[in-house]
Amino acid sequence: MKAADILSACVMLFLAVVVLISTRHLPYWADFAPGSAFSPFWVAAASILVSCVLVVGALRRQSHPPIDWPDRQGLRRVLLTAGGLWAIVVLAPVLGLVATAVLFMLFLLLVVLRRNLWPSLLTTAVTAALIYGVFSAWLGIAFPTGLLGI
Amino acid sequence: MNMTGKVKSSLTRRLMLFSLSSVSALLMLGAGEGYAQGKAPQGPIEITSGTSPGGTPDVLMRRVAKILNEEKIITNPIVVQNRTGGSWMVAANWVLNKKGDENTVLTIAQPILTTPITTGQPTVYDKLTPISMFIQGDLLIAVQPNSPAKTFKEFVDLAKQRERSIKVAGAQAGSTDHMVTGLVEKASGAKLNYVPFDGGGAAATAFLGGNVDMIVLPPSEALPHVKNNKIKLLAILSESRRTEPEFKDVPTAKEQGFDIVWGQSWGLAGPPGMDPELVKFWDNAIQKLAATDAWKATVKEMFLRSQVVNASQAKEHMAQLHDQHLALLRDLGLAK
Amino acid sequence: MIDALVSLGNGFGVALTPTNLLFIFIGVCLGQIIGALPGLGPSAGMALLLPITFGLPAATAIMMLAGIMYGGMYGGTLTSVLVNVPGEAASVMTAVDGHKLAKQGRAGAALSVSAIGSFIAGVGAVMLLVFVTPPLAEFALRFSSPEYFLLAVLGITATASIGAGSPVKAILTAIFGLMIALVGTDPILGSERLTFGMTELLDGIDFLPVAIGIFGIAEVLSSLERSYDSEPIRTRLRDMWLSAKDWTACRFSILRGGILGFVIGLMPGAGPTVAAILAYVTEKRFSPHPEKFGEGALDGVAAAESANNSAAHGALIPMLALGIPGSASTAVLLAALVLQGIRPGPGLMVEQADLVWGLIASMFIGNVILLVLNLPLAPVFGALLRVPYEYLAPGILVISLIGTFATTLSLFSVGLTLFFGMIGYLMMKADLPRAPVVLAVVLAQLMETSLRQSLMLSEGNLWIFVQRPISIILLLLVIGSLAVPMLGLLTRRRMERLRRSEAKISIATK
Repeated sequence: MKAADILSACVMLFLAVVVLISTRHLPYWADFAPGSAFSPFWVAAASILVSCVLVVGALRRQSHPPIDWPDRQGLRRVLLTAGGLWAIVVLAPVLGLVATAVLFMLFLLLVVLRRNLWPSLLTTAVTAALIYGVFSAWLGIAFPTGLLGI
Repeated sequence: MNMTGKVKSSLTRRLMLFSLSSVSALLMLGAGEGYAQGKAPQGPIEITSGTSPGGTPDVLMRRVAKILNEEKIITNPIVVQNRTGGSWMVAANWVLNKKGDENTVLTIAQPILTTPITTGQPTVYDKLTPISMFIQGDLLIAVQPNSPAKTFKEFVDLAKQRERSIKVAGAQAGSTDHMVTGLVEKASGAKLNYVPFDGGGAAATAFLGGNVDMIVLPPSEALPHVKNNKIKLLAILSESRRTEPEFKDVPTAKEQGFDIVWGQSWGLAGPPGMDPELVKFWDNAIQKLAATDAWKATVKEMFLRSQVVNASQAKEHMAQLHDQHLALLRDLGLAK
Repeated sequence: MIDALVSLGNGFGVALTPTNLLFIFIGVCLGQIIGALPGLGPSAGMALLLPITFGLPAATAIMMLAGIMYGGMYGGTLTSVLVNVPGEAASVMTAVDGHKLAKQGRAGAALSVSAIGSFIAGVGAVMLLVFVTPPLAEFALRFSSPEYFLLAVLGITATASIGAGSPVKAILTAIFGLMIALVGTDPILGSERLTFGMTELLDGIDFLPVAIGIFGIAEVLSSLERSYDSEPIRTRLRDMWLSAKDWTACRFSILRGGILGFVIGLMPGAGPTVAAILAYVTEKRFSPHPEKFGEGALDGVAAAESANNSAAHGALIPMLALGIPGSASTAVLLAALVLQGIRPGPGLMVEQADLVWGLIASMFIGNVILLVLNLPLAPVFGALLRVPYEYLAPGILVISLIGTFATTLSLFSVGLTLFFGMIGYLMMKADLPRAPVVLAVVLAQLMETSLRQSLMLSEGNLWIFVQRPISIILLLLVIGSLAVPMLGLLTRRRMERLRRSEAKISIATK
């Protein structure tokens, strides 16, 4: 946990610096009231302070339970799922959102989780029907349709 | 009628197979209308809107869609889609990217002009194909019922007594309310204290709770509070007074010696490079819409005006509006 | 009083016609479904279904739309408890504790207590609506920027105590939430902050992608770590129902949550989400077992769910009496009235008595329908967890993403949700609490803009916070909420020191 704490603190320190730098050209005070840079300044300041407290705490603490990383198999599943999720965003304009979502479900069920074929197809069909029925037919939402037109 | 019309839109694509297989049906569809000579879009039409459902432009366009369909002016199903985000720029970009598309039109509202100005982005209005500006809304200046000022002149004198002593509630920075406040300051020489709230509803709440002195309201929103004696109307910012009994006694700012004329306007524009034939199709449709009783009733009921600026003048009109907004936002220090 | 009862009687006359009953039923069922689907909330659902109501008589249309509004409050619970994705914004606190309960096999209890709490709070709120609408509307107007600022501060100061882990980490993640809320156009001056030139970020980062990503997506990702033949959550039928013990533990939570939610719902500008969050953090202060909050506290769920439903009803008061929308949903109701040619405003309750009282009566009926729907079904929904998680997970992911897409019709929101999903997963790994992030996102903007508005209203004078009667009460509450834990900490330290020194003395005397 020591490494995680220090890393979280570093990320927050970094974000604080980003906030400070990107809002430095904005007014801190405007007429009667705080300006655009007032809140960013104090949020960043608080972030720096609390990050430091976290680092000090992590260094002083004796016991450090290790981070609960998944095993190789688990890691593979998580990474593949995350990759598949991002692929939805990338492929949706090309293939259509609903079509991509269906492909993602089949990929997740059959490739990543290695489920049986028929229950997987059934789950996918039920989900697709729900999406079409509720979102498209009923609420009239226009999904990106892509080359195939679905 | 161009039967093999460019089927570019994703929406039509879905219907392509279907429509090609039923050419005769389409011919009938075209012939059944009064504009058989011109070109008409095939399949469902999207009116893109940048507000979340329920906002004024959204309500207006849903009404427009309903009347166009019900009166059979346009037989394609019309859907209003709310592509929110980026102060209308997400909606604008959506349509800008649909160059030559036949099934998408964009709702034109003030942010289409002002957001590029306040954020320093390239202008949007001049890249679209203007169709028509056909809805106009008036604005009223209202004060607390117990305000010592009885006329707009007295109000300005009151504001001049102490700089920034008059508090004005309105929507976010750069909104219509803000611009009107800027106009009042410019025309009168008084300095006001503009407090932005999260939208018009929140501003009205702050006003009704007695926290501020002045507010800018469209007639439809002002009416219930006038009836209940919660506000006092000092001026209407149009060229001429309204004719309804409820508002005919509200003098224009111009009558009272202050040259402030400002209002809201809404309309439609097509994507860049829209076929002139299609522009004509829409132009006709809007003119027919404006002549229907249903539309006249809507306009009356919502206390709007509907002067159709048709496609031939819309470009110039929008450029003029843009310049006015640009000048005003520069004065307010909001232009980038 | 008698007048109100007579009017209410007439209202029931309007609401109990077969057509209206049917549309109330359709409305609450739609609300239940839209609330349960992640992404789209009741207000968006109402707006999308607005065109359907065009052909209906005004009263029928409004009854149905209102049904979606409060039906959504019941429905949102479902997804939050079962799969840890907030079905709609106001059930975000339920996603924290409700899902922990589900993992302990107590999904049925969490769902039942939410349904009962929502029902009691909803009916109570409608009762108040019947008898005291005009004075309450006037009361609602006394809330303005200074009060909102203090209210938000009250919520933010509670972040440190949320979650079971170290308060330092809770504060740190709350700061992360505050940073998320900074992104976008500054509402007061109109300047861009932290948008990095992205148009999609101009309006800021919405709460829903953050909540769905950080809770829902992250939870699914982390659950996929486990071996894929994981056992479904074991549920004994006995645990599915609410026990008498649970009821005794929760009844006052429901009462407190309901009242607090109603008051916050009254204020135009706060809304059900803020109500649920404040009810949850307040409940933690009252609870005999605050350490359970964040780990599956049934009373926390009860308070939050009662609060969001009574807030949804309370928001109708300023809308009906003054024509001011108190929440996103009531804004759509107002738009619906306008589309029907009815002008909302102070005269509404007199001019459109049938409509208003019909609506009020319909809410009694609708709440009863929802209770009848939800209570027997709670164990059935709970049993959904017996479906192997591997089959549920892909569906949860896909529907969450499609739901987020539907809110803005843009893939950017989908990407944003995924981004926060990844962050949420890493936060779980680093043992950082996630609830403070969403809490800060909701409250940050309210806090910043209302502080600036207050000072603009007072021309820079800080006295505005003590000159107004309601704000001084809130100020005292803020001071109290900060001082009490501090005092507690100090006395505990002193006691320890005393004990230690006593121990030393005893050693010395030996």
